[in-house]
Amino acid sequence: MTVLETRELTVGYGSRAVISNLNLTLRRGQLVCLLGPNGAGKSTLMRTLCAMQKPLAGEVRIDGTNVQNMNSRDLARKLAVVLTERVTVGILTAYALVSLGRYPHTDWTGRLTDRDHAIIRRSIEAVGAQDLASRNVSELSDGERQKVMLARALAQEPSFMVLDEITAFLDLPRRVDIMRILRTLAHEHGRTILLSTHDLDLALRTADMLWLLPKGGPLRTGAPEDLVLSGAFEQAFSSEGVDFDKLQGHFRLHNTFHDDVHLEGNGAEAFWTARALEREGFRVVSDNPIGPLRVNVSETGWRVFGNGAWSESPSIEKVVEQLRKRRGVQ
Amino acid sequence: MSDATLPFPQSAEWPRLGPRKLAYLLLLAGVALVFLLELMIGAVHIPLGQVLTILSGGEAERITWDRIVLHFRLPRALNALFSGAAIGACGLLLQTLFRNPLADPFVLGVVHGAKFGVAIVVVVAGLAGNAFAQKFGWLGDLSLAAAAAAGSTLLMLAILALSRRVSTVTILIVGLMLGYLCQGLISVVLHFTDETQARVFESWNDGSFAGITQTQLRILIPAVLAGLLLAHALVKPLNALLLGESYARTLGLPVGRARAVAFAATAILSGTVTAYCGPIAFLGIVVAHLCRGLFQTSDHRTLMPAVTLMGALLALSADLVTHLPWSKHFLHLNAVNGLIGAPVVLWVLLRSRNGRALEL
Repeated sequence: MTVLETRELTVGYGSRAVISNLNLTLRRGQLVCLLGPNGAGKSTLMRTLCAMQKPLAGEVRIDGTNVQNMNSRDLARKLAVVLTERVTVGILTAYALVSLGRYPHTDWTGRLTDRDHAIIRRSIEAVGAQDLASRNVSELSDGERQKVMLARALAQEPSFMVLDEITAFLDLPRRVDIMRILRTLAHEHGRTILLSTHDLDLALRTADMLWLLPKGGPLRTGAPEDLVLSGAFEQAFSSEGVDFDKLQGHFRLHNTFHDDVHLEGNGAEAFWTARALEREGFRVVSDNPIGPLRVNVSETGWRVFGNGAWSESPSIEKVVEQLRKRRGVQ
Repeated sequence: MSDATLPFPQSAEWPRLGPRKLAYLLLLAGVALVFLLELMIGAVHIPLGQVLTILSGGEAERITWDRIVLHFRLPRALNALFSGAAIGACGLLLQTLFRNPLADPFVLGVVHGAKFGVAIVVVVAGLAGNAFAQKFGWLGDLSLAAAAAAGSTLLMLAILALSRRVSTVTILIVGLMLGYLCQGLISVVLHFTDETQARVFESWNDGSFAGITQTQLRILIPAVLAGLLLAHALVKPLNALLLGESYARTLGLPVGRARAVAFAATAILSGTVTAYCGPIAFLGIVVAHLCRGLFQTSDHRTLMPAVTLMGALLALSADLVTHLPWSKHFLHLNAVNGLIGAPVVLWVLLRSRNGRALEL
């Protein structure tokens, strides 16, 4: 079932088109991340999809209706938005804040029916915020607040949710938590969710689909893994000094390696040792067991070979220190 | 979530929304009590029984009591009742509209805008005060209220334009400056009228609920009722505005239209009251904060009726203090208001940690 559809959509400001001729579709229950460097036009696209700004050409359809032809109340029943900004609402409980999501459904007095209350409660439960319900919003942490704002968006009963960098101010565990909630909302509650984010790693791991927007376009769409393999992902974020490692699936600094280090061992210790060595400018190899620099990782600790002698090391910090010294002597 | 039968989750304790009926009843009882005290207490004490007799159309033991209650105390008490309710509602409206806990018709200088409107009408008519009323009758009174409302609107638009560029605290200074500007303009305008008339205008400069005429009351009461009706019809949009403009829009609120209606309500309420009572200081800000504290919510569905009652209660009480029989020197109404109001403003300022992040 198609929820969002754009037809030959061109977005931009005034007469300047930022992205042209977009033909996008989103189905029910899809979690899509919009990724792209700053200034590529992510906000412009999001704002146009939300009908906060008019398209330069073409149209945006939600559930088959052009958003430009919907009045604000009808639109609010189809589309819910959560923004980056930290809201301050005075003295309201989280429950009261979520109840504001019923705004487009209630009568002019804003009276809540039993059905409204049931939907509010379900929305709160869907994001796992039951324990926050009676707390004052001003006492909540940023992460808790965004959860409540998500519940409020959900209470609008929208078919399409647009979330603008809602994890921007959160720490990593909170970001992971929000992404987990978004997956549940998409897959179990059938919401279609578009999230713009700078969190490339989390997006790669959680999104059903990516919209990649490199500076100067064009927009590329597809499963995260396909976009990585085709090189589109790397291309979109290519810049000096940063590489995307296709095999490891993460970004790393451009390193010019000065020496090879032969690393033996496995498990988490070996993995993090390799990371430390790369950070220090050593290329990690596993095919040169007689080279001048070698590191052995075992359950008992680290052994470093350099200058023709082995030495023990209690931590990665010391390993790196020793290798640095050996290199200096060489 | 669109299925017809929704299971009601039982596990969690859900918080209760909505007003506490008892608190409203207490407020209402307070209003009734102080209203009666206003009629009983003054230079001459009139017993409660006699007051009730007079109010129900009976004859009092002394003929003078009849006159005192019906011609002096009742208009004054009615004025305080309705004007207080009006200013209470204005304070809440302005605080939400400007997202500023320090907003209030007096603090923002809206009352000076109203005064400026009145000054222009007075000069154009060439007469001030009661002389003006006598000459033009109810039409004159109506034009005073209309001019005050128009002046209020102008000032609010100026503040709206400026408020986007400055912080919530700076807006206080902006309001103060606009107030001075208005007062300056008023002096200039009054220069074109004769000295006696200017002096009459100056005395009206002090806020007071006394001395309102029957005609003025006949305009004030319907105008305030209309303004209060508008204000109460706005509770849903005002709640959405708590989230800020962008969120309110995404909830389906036509923000521009809602704001225009809210401005209209404020202009009617503040304008009419200022036209007949002069500038009433600090009442709006005090009432809004008191009600938020008492009801522990920013929900306008609870607050709007609360500020209406609390506004009436505080205005009646402040007025009662100004004419207590044992006070040798009659206190000015704004002196009483300032004694309560200024500390509240200071409290709001000090409560915010850095003086900038003010929340409603």
